[in-house]
Amino acid sequence: MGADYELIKDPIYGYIKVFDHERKIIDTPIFQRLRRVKQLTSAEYVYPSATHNRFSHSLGVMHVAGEFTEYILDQIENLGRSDKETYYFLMRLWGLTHDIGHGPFSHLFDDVILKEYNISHETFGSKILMESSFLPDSFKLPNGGEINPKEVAQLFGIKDIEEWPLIESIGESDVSARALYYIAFGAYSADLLDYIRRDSYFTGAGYGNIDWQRLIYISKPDKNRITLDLRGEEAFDSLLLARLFMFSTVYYHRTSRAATRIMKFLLEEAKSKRILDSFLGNVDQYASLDEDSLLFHPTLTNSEYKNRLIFRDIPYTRVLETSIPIEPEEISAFVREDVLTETTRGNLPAKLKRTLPPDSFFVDTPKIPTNPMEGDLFIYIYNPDTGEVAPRNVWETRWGKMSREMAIVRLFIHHDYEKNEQDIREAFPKTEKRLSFY
Amino acid sequence: MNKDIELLLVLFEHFNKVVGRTRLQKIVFLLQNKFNIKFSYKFISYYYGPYSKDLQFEVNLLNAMGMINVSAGDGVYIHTLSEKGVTTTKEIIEQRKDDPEIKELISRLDYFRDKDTSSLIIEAKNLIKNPETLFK
Repeated sequence: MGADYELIKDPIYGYIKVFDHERKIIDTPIFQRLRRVKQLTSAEYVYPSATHNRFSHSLGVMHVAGEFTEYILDQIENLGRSDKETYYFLMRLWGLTHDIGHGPFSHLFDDVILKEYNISHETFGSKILMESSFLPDSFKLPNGGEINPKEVAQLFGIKDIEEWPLIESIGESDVSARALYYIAFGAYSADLLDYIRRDSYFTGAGYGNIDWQRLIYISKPDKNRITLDLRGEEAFDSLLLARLFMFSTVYYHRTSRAATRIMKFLLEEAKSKRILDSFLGNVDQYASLDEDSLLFHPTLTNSEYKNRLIFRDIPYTRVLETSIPIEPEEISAFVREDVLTETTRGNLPAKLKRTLPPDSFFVDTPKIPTNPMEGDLFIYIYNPDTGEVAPRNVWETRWGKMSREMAIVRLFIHHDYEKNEQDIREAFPKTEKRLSFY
Repeated sequence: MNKDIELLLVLFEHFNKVVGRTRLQKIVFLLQNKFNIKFSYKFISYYYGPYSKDLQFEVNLLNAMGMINVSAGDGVYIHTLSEKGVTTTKEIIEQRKDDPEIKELISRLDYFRDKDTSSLIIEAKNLIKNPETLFK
């Protein structure tokens, strides 16, 4: 795309192009606040350099979404430049703004605050895009075209292909704009391709060194979908493994999970002290709410949780841990933290049952579905020798089947109750004894 | 088997097939929130109306258990009961034939028969708290 652009230096891609209408979004307070929302909420307590933020991730997703879209559209014969540019800029705008609704501590903010109002950061992001007075009423493209913010907002929080609103044919071709769904939400989406590599780089964990360009360059548009050439299957399988290892070593690291617990308490404190009210008066006030403004809010000066986070004083130790691959037929109550916590408490000696406070221990059971697509089951594999396309269950890798889901089950004990460790450990249900789902 | 799953099976049995995840989501939302059927799902408001992750999880679970078949049509998912599902659902209905909850559910299902998905989306959107409630 030949229009004028600026270049921003980025360690993952070298340079990222930024067009004028994108720069106008980036330079607003509502977007700049993403500099103060970390990409990995609590990983920095384990990996000190993992302080990168949703600002740089958003630029990265914009870049990948643009490259992916451009490459897919290039394969459509006789597609006019203006059609191509419209989709290219639309998908870049989606990438740039897709996280704009995230609050401090990202997903925790969804769980502790937004859920109560039946909304998510995606719903909120759509609202910001359409209503924020910081943002223009229309995005004016370099080619003279325009994109209405609503066209971008309606791409947020899509749950599966059914909801994807772009269904028209692209140009005169038999390819439908439905295919672009896979760039935003498919098994190797622009979002995933950026965060796996970016998080791997900034943590130093190293598992995320995947061949993202091969995945893109070996994909083809096919009517309603994007297919992956057979010769790209290894690149895809390596992405699945990278994702799994990033979860077990980074996203679900035990210390990081324990720190998350403290952040949850802090958000609950902020809520009960009604600190958030002034930031949630309207969408524009939200621009002032970020992790810094929350942590250093005058009302929280003496907060125990705030001080623990500032000084990395994480008062929980993991005393038991097991990793469990889960097959659907045995999805069990065993991996539910509420059930496990209750059972453990129930098994405690009578006196302790009465005296141990709720935060003296907790059970944490983060789970990761091995399929990156929320509910979609297949990727489509194109065989260049026969020209045929065959669906593949995402978790059926070329070299064997992965479990559909992996869970990590951990028991944490608060430092003040270390003396009760033996009793709590014994009360924890034995891992061999998985409870049936029924 | 948990209660939500039993109710879902009865729903699938009644409709023969449910075309679209979006449609299924809105039907269950309206059953729970308009007709007070005792599903226990947490719904979040999205651009396309209320959506529950737990519901989608249990639909995937029913599929994995071989109770329902889910096929991908042209950009839409089609849900039907499998043979195993039909047998299991018949047993549930037989066991609970005097249960007012099941009767109530069945009596409400015809409401959805002639309604298209877009009208269900609108109805569901009007019933869930919208983002405005955050800004009191």
